[in-house]
Amino acid sequence: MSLSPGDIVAIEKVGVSAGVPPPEGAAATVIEGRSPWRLAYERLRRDRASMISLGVIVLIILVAIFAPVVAAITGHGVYEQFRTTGLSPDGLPVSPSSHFLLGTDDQGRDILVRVAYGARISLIVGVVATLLEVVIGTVLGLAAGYFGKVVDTVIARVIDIVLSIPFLLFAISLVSISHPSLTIVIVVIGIFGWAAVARVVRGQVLSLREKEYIEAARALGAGPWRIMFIDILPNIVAPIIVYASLLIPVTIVIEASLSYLGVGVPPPTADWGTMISGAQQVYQQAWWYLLFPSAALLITTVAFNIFGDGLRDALDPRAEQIYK
Amino acid sequence: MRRSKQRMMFIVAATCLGMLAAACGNGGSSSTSTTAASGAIANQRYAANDSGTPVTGGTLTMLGTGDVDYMDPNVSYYAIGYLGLRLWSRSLYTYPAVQGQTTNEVPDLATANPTITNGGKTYSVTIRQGAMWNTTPNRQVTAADAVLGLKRTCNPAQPFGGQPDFSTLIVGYADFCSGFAKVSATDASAMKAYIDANNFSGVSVDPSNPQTVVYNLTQPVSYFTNILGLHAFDPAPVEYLNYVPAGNDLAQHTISDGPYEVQSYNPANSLDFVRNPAWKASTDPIRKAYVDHIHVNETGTQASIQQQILTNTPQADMEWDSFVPTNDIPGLLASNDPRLSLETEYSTNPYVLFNTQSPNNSGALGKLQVRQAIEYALNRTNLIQDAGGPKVSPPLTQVLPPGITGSAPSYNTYSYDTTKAKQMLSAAGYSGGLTLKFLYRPANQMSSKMFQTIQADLGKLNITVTGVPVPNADFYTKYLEVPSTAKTGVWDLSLAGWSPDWYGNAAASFFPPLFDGRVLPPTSSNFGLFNDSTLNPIIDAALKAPTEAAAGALWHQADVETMKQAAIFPITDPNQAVIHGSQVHHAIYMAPYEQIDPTNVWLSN
Repeated sequence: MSLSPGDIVAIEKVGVSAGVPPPEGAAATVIEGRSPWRLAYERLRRDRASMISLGVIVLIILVAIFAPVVAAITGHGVYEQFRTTGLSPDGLPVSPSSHFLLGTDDQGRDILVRVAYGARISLIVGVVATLLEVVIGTVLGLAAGYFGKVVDTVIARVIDIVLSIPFLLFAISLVSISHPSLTIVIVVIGIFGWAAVARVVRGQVLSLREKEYIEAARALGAGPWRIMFIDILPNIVAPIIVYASLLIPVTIVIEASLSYLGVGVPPPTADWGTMISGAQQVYQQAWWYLLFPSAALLITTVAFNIFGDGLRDALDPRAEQIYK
Repeated sequence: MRRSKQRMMFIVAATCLGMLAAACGNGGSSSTSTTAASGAIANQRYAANDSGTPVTGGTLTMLGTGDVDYMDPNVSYYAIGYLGLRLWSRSLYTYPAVQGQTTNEVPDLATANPTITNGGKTYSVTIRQGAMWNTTPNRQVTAADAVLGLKRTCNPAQPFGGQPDFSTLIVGYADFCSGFAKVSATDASAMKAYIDANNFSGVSVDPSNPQTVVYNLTQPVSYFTNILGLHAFDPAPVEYLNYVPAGNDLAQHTISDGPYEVQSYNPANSLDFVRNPAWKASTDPIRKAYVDHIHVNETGTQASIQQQILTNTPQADMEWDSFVPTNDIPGLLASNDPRLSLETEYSTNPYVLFNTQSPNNSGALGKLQVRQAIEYALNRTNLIQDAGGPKVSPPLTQVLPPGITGSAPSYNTYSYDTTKAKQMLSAAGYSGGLTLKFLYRPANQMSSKMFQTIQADLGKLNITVTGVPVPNADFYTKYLEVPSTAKTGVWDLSLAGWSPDWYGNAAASFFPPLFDGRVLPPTSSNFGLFNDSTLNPIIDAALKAPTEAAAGALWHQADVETMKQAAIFPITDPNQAVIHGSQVHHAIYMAPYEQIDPTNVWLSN
């Protein structure tokens, strides 16, 4: 009986290379079995760029969690407008100073505090919308790949249609019809983003469903749902995780784009896209208003992208490593 | 009655080149004044560049971002359309390019002010001999053309948007229009047949003089001469009957009686004007027509236009529908750039709108005390900061902006006072606070900023303001102009803006459309469905006032009553900032066109 991918156990010799006899007099070789996840983790740990990115992501998460603490330390509420100290009489933002470390926006609000709170929105949308995309895409991809025939044809055509829709334009229209809100933004991104995941999952399932262990499961009387979710799904988790990690920065940028275009998260919620949009009007007089939210967005997306690539390299060592 | 759109647009489109501006100021004369000709308009700045001896000739290049609304004088209703018409379609009365008098109407095609008889109900206007159409052969502009022009205003294809100004005032006009509305909107011959077959006593040619047009009114009013200055009343040549009004075909076959004729019109792209050989300077006291050729490029962006003019690019003389970005203004003012004009729009734009019929919070906004509490709670200074500061947006504390008959500059019913606001809110039974829905446009920078400012201001009163964000395109058409959205409480507060159709004795262009509760949107622009039994009779009386002075007193009463009833919260009468190249001389800003008058500038190179 052949082993299924989920049953593969990698065996390495600790302290010696495999196949090389131990030096004379050495203690008996200790052989430790390590799972693919452990191996992937170790490969990831050796990837410096990925680890730095992970550190940045953790830092962003901490900033998002402790945004109220930033507000408390500065004494500036996220919605608090400092009309006299934070704005010129002509309504222009004031530059970074000891009072406002990153300057103020066009409403006299502390950019530091708003960038910190903006991280919450980006992460919430990035994670939740991606989760939605992955769940929908995985379920439909599994169904298409496993059932095949009419189900596959229908789902595959739907995937084609969704992928051919000009996403941003359609998303703008959809968000415009309903009043913009965080929930709407997440749902819209989820609705349009699942197709790529479904296509990846479908491809994986098509190859796995012919494996002997699936045939064995079927012979033992397992139903289609059990096979899909118990036997197949665990074996395609790695590519899904990789894809999800790369989807997060895309989702964050889409959310920022929608907010930038005025159809995303409504004001006064602190949001990087909305801040960048507001800064467009005054960026020559107030560079800080454009720079800091843009930098936050850039750093976040780059960190997620590098980490996603690293994750891919770690989970699939055959793939070419990009960042080292 | 024009809804103010432009200012909102420029906030949206604003891009900044302030530092560049500071570095590029040069030649020309300018003057700065804290009070305007009317004596009450703040922070105006004139940049006429009147030095030197006028030179004839050259090509004036105007840069813009958009097109005219229509190439049809009897239909066009927006400032940019009027700016184009200034070149090629003369009005009976118009505004002179004379500093300090740019909103005082004077005869244009008319030989003199109208002769008023019949107790103020009949106006006779005689058209100048020698004013010619550029037809082949050239033909005299006649009173019959003026009659035709007025008839065309209510064509079924594209009626003139400002008809409510005079639809019930001119005898028989409303009936004529209701019949015209039944004619096919796509059949030019059917419209021609209707116009030929139907007359109404409100407008006719004086039997004794084919150059005199006679208007009969249902009641005497003090502002009809101002109305005669609308382009809608421009004479129209009989050839226009061959085309669907405001249509593309007509736009390519315009006939001119102004100093310029249309050489080419490429919609949304370019316009070229050359001298009209049929025009005689002796018949036109308004337009000097110094330049030979005017080229309008409509494909620019606000930022690029600003940059080109600031750097004195030879192909960038003046703006067309563009203007100086708000955030650039402080820098230009600081450098005392002599090319910058900052002049009033004579508008109230924006103002906070109360939905007086909202059922939300047990009809809170229908209660005077609640509206008054909000008037006290809103900090105008903060909102003006959002609009670029007091230099760009001087405060307005009443309905009528300075310069409009009936306006009283020092009049302010509600000074910022949160303590008083809280007391009033408590007395109205809302000590626990309330929640109001604010209709706004997130894609519009100023709308979005002001929403957040108002949210913060009213938060101090324990009033929670929640946003109702809607797309720009839906804001008026699907919300404000639909009374059911107000009545069902879709929104409680919003922002709107208003510019008059004419100037000076123009309060009739404010109160009836904005506050007469007997007419509802979409016929009027009383978006808050405000109805005050005290105000309505004052409006009626002011409309019937025989003289401007009498009307002015009544309009002031109307203003006081409107503010007492807290129908709106005025914010500002903004100044418009425009700029021109140093080579452009006699650059007089004209509020009706929201630009410098191209028919009176001359070029020094």
